[in-house]
Amino acid sequence: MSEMIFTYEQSGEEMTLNMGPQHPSTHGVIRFIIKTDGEIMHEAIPDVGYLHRSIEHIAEKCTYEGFMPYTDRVDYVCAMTANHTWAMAVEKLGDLKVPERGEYLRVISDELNRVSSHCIALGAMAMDIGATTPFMYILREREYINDLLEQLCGARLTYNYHRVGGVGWDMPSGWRDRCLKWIDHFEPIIDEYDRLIAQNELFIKRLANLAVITGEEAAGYGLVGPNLRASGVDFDVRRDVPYSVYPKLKFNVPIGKGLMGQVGDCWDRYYVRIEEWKESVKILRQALDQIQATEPDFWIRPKKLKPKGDAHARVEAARGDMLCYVAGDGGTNAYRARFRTGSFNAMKIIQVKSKGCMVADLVALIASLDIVAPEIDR
Amino acid sequence: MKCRCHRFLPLLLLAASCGGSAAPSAPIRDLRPTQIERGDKITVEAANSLFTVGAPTTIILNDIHTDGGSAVTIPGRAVGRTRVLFDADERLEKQIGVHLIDVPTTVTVEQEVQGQKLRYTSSPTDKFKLDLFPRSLRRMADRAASKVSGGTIWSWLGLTVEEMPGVGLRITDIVARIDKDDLFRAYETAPIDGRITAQEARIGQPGGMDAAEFARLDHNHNQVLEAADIEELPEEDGVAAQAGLRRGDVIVSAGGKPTQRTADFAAAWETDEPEVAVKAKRPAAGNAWTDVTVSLPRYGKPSGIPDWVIWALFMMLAAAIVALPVPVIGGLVVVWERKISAYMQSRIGPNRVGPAGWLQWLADGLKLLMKEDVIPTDADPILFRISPYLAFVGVFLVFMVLPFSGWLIVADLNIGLLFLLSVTSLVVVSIIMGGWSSNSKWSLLGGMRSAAQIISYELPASVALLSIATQTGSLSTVSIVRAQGGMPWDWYLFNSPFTFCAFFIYFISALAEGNRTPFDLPEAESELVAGYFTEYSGFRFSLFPLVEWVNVFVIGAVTSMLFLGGWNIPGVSAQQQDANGWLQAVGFGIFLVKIIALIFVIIWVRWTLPRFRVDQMMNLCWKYFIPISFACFLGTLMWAWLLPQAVQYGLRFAWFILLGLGPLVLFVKRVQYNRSRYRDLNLQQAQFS
Repeated sequence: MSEMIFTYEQSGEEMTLNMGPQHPSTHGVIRFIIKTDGEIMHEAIPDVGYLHRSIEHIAEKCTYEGFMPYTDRVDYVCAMTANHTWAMAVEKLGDLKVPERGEYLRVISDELNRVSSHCIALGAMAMDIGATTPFMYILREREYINDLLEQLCGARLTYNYHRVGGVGWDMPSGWRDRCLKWIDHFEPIIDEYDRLIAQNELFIKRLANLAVITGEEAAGYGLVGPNLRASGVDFDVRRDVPYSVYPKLKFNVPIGKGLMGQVGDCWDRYYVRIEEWKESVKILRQALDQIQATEPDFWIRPKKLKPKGDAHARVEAARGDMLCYVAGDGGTNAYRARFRTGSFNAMKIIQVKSKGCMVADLVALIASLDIVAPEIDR
Repeated sequence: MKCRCHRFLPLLLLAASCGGSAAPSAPIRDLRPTQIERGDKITVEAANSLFTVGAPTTIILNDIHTDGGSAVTIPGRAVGRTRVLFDADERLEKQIGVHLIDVPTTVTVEQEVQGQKLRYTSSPTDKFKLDLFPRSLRRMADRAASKVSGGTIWSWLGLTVEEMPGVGLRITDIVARIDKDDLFRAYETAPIDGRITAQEARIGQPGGMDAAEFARLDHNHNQVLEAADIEELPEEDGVAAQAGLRRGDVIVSAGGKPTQRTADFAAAWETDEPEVAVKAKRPAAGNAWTDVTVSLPRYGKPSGIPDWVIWALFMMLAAAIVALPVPVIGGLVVVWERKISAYMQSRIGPNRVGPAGWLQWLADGLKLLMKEDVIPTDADPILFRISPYLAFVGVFLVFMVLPFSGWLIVADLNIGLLFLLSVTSLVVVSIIMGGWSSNSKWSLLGGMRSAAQIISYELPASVALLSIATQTGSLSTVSIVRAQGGMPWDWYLFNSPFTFCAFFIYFISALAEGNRTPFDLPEAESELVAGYFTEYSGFRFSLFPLVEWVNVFVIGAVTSMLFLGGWNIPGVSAQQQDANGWLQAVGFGIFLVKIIALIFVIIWVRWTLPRFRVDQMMNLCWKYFIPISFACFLGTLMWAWLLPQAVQYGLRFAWFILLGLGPLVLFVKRVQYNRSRYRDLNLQQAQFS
C-alpha cells in the first residue's frame, strides 16, 4: 500500500523557484529557494551570505577607534545604533566614561536614525505590497532626517558619528531648534501615514492574519526588537537592560495587540513600527529638552586604549537588540569582535512561516520582518 | 409590452450562441422603391450570402409597429439633409440618405431557387436591417481600383463581379456614365415630391443620363444625390457599361466559352479576334431572364497592377489611418501617467524631451527600438516572437468599434460589444504565450496569474455590458451612444440604480482585465520581477507597456461610451449632431474629455492603492462581482419591464441627484477637508536645514 502513495514532491507538481540574489524585493542581496505549487509555497529556504564582508575580522585588524567607520556598514540603514554598540562595548572593555552631553547626543542621533530606518521599513513594505506612493512620501521625511544628521555629523548614510568616549561633534548652532521644528512637522504626519496606509482596507487584507508569529515562537527563534514586540512580548533593551541616558527618559514600549487580526501578524509588525515612531519622537523631545542642562563636554578622548579582557554591549537598534562582544588582549586591536544582529535571526523564521503562504505573501513577510541584507551577513 | 421586447435582443442572441443573429440582420443592397409600407413587396437586386444571389427575391414588411412615435434609431452615418421620419400612422416614409436602416418589424424574405421556395422570417423582437447603399470599405476599394487605369481586365472594363456557381458571373457593380452636373441641375428643378422625369434627366440626349441609369434612379434621385456616393462615382465611362451591360446581369459566356469563374472570363481576352462576344442573362419581371449579347473590344486591354494589389494597398492605408494614432495615444498616456504620478509623489517627472517633457515617450520608444532584441536560448523562438504582436492586435482592433463621434467610426458592427469583448481576449493569449515561451518561471507565474485574472474578470465585465445592451436593444456601439443623451441624467450611468452598479462592476473589471493596480498581479514587480515580459527586450518589450497604456485609453473610451453618454452634446439631439460636421467635432471633443477624466481616475487609483493577492483577486471576482453583476443584469431587466417608461425617465433625474451629485458633494467636501489638513502640515514650506 505504501508504494502506491507517492508524495507530492514525487508527483512533479512542485516547482523550484529561485528568488534572488537579484530580486526587487529581497531588500539587498538575499536569495530564497522557493518550492511552490503554483502560487502556494511549500517552503522558502533562505540562503544568506551574498553580502558577507568579514566585518568581524576587519575589527581584529583595525584599532578600536579605527573600526568605528566599519560599524556603519554593519547596518547602513540604521548606522548610528551600530556605532553606539561598538562604542559602548569598547567603553565597557576599557572602562571609559562618556560625558552626559555625549550620551544625550548619542540618544538623539540614535532615535533620529531609528525613525529614518523605520521610514525605509514601512515605505518598502508598502511598496512590496504594491503601493508605490507611500514609499515616496515616507522617503521625503527621511530626507529631512538625513539633512539634520548631515548637519550633525557631515554624512547622510554612514555617519561615523559616535566615538569611543563620546561623540565626534557637538550640535551645530540652531540645530536643536531645527530638530524641534522637524518634530513639530513630523508628529501630525504620522497620523497621515496611518490614514494612507495602515488603515487602508487592501493593506489590511494583505497583511492581517498573515504569518502569525506567537510570543513563544518569536522568543524561541530569537526575534528581537519590533518583530518580537509585535508578537506581544514586552521587551525593549532601552527599558529592560537600560543603557546611556534612557533611564532618565519616559517612553512606552508598544507591543502588538492584534488590532486587525491575530497578535503577531504582519500588520502588527507594521503597526508596532508606526507606534515606535511616536515613542521615538517623545524621546527626542525629552532629550532635546534635557540636553540644555548638560555640561558642554561631549567627548572624553581615551589617551591610551589597550584594554584587556572582554565585554559586551546591547543596544536597541531599529531592527532590535544588537549585541557586540569584544575581547582585547592588551593590544591596540581587538582580539575578537562579534556582532549579533536582528535581521539574521529573523531570517530563520521565514522558512517556517512561509509554508502555505502565497508567493506574494513571502514578499510581505520579508518586508514585515524589516530585513536588511548587510545586517544579516556583516 | 411588445415594443419593449426588442431590448432583450442581445440576450436572445447570446442564448442562441450568436449563430442565429445572421439571418435577420443580413444587409440587402440597393433597395427600391423608397416608400415602404405595410405589405409592400420589395425587389432585391443584390444580396449577400444569406440569399442565393441572382435568384428573384421578394421581401415583405409584415407588420410595422411603432415605438410610440419616436424616431427610428439609425446606426451608421447619416449624410447631408437627411431626415428620417417614422410616422405614427404605421407608415414608414424615408427619404433615404442613410445606408443602414433598422426596420422595426418582422420581415419576410422569399426566394425561389431552382424551383424550390425558400422563406425566411425575421424574429418579431428583432430589428431588420436594410443596407441600402453599402458604404463599405470594400466598395470604396473596388471603386478606387477600377478608377486606376492600368488595372486588370476588370477595372478596365469597369466591372465588379461575383461568381455564381453553376450559372456564371454576376455583375455586382459597373462603372456607368453619369453626368453629375445634370443630375444636380435636375435635382434643383425637381418638384418637391422628389420625382424626376425622363425629360428632366434628358435621356438619350447628349450629356444626359442613359436609360439604364434613369431606371435605377427614377424613384429616388434624392437618395443618390444626398448619399454623397455620387461624388465618388467615376467620371470616365466604363467599357462594359457603354457596351450595354448592367448591374445584376449574369455573364454566362465570353468568346464562346462558358464563364464559370472569373479566370474564364479573363482568359477569353487571350485571343486574336478584335472583339469578344459576351453573353449575359438579365433578370426580368417574375422569375424570367432575358438574354443579352454584347461585344467588348479586345484591343486596349491594359496590363499592370492587379486590382487586388490596389485593394490591399487601400485597406492598408485605411488600417494605417486607424492604427497610427494609437501608439501616439499610448505614448501620451504614458507621459501623462508619469506626470500625474510625479505630482502625487512630490516629484517633477519627465520634463526634458519636447515641450514640458511631452515627447518623452518618443525618446523612450526610439531607445527601445535601437536595443538588441534578445531571445533567451531556451525560449520557444516562434511563440516568443509572436506574443507581442498578438497583444498589440488585440488592443488595436478595439479601435475598430470605438465611436469617436457619429461619423468617426471605422466600422459600426452590429455585434460591436461582442467584437470588443472577443478581441480584448486576444491579449490574454499573448500574455500566456509570452509567459510560457520565455522559459522563465517568473514569466510563467505572471502568465498564469493573468490567465486566471483576465478570464475571470471578463465575466462580470460582459454581464455588466449586457445590462447596458438590454437597455439599448443593440450591440452596436453607435446605437448605444445614440440611445443616451448629452445631459448626465440621460446617461446609462443614472438609468437605474442597477446600471449605476453595473458601471462600477464594469470599470473595476476593466481595470483587472487591463492589469492595472490594484490588479497588476501579472506584472507585480515586487513579486515577479516584471511578470510575463521579464525576458523581453528591445522593441518586443516596448509593445507590452504600449498595449497596457493604450488599454487604459480603451477602458476610458468604452466606459464613457457605455455609461457616460459618449459623444452626445448636452441639449443637442443625436439627429442634429449627425447632420452637422461642427457638432460632430464638438462631440468628439466631449468624448475625449470624458476619456481623459476616466484615464485620470485610473492613474489616480494606480498610484494610491496596494495590490491584491491572487486569492483575494479571485474571491473578489467569483464571490462578489459575478453575483452582483448578474443581480444588476436581472435588476435592469426588471426595471425596464415593470416600470412605465415615463416613471423611468422621471426617476433618472432622481438618481442623478441621489447617486451622482450626492457623492460628488461628499467627495468635494472630503477633498476640502484633506486640503485643509494638508495646509496645516505645511509640507511645501518644510525646511529644516
